Amino acid sequence: MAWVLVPQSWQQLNDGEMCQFVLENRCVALARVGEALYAFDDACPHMLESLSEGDLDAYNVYCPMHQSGFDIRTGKVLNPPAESPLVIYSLRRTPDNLWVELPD
Amino acid sequence: MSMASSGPTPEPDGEVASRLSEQFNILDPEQARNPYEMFQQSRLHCPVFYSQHVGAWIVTRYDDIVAIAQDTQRFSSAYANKTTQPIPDEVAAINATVHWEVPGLVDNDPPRHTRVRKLTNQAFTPPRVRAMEPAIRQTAEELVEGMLRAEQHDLQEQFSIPLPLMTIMRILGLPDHDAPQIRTWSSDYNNERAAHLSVEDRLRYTHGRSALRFYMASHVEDRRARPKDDTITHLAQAEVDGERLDTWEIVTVLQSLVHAGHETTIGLLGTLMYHLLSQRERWEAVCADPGLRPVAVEEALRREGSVNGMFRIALEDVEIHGVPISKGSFIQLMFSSGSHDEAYFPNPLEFDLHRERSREHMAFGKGRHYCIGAPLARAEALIALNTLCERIPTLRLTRDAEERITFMPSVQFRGRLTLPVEWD
Repeated sequence: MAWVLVPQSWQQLNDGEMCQFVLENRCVALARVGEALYAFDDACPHMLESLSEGDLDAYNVYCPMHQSGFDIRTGKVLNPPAESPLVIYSLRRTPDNLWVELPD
Repeated sequence: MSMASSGPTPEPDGEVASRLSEQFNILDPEQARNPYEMFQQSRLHCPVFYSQHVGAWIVTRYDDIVAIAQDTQRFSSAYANKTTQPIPDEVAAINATVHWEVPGLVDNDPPRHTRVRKLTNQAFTPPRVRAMEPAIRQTAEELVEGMLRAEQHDLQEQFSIPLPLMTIMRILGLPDHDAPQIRTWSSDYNNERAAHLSVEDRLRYTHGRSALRFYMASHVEDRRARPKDDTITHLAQAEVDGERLDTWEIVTVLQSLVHAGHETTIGLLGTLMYHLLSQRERWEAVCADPGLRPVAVEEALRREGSVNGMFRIALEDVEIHGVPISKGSFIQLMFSSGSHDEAYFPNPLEFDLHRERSREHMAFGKGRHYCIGAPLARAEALIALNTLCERIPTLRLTRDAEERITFMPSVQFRGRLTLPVEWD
């Protein structure tokens, strides 16, 4: 596992919005709910669609293609057809930076 | 090229395959009532067989269906919604006038399918469906009030047909007063899918579903001129990569939404209520325990899916369980059989309110074409069940219900058109 610096554009993310970063050849989705930030794999476990193009409803993200739903805090599947949980990444904030922990 | 499958290839049983090839005909009224025994024979002895009546290879095991549904490189959905029967010249001429071949949601492959799907999906997301639930509940209450006032009671006619029809029409932005006409046109579309029709009957039904396309086209043009806050306007105005859907493309999407958006839910509600009411303890259990109702909905979807199966076309020569299938062949993925695959669902004929994996059924398909209306169908079924449990707990089938139940005459759809009921 390694901590990877997230580009500063994350600071422009508003409440209820998501965006995608490509970090270490991996698509990572970042979501803001209130003041809290959440990071997860930007590929739905069902058919690998980009979840950051889907809908964010409080802590729940829905796939734009097939409506699979996940809790972005835990990765738990809330709505089929996905059967596998969403991969969640840890975040660490410092006064000026945001870091995401990615597998090697 | 061979297919991967988790189930072992059975010893080839030429006798069973030959019998199924000749006899399997889901349009036969007896088989339509209970196709599950034949599906079981197929899963056990010949998981892929050619049906002479359907004109397609029938695939019946869960894992094989998943593998094909996910393999868009070798299996196209371009004809998923088309009939395998020959098309008379007269019908072909009408089809040309209504741009029948323009693909929409179901009969489409990536990348075009992706574009259409993402646009349409926005009207059916779980949060959008949750926002619609109070209105669906209100409609369900009104329909129950109407049933209580009527002298003759048929649950399908008075409740299970109008509830999903009114709901999908309101989502799209179509006026309530057009519901009877749309129902007739949609039935024509269903009836046309019953094979072996006379040319006259086929033409009559073709005119009906063509009228539905002209009706939808007029609404699309109207929204382009006078936008409203509805799904038709959304589809008419939406752009992906700077490109709009054209009118006939939208019409194809709308036609499949209005058709599949209520015919399949009619089937679901009929199945759900039939299996609950045909065993008194089951009905009393769901009335007493609301926690059992979501499981009942899933089990209804699994026990008798509203879509028997969808078609694919082989884009190259393939081999499934040693059966060679040549490029260009029709293949029917029999979802109703996959939902009974013993490897996933022990005692599949049992309507089990405590089944652990019932939600893994195939009633909404698998893969890229997973049903766009799944959250809506689940919400409608649960609201319908809640309403009926609370308002008419003494509901029961009439003594002669079994003789009076009729099914949709369709090679693809399965559902009861009648369900005679009474109460104290």
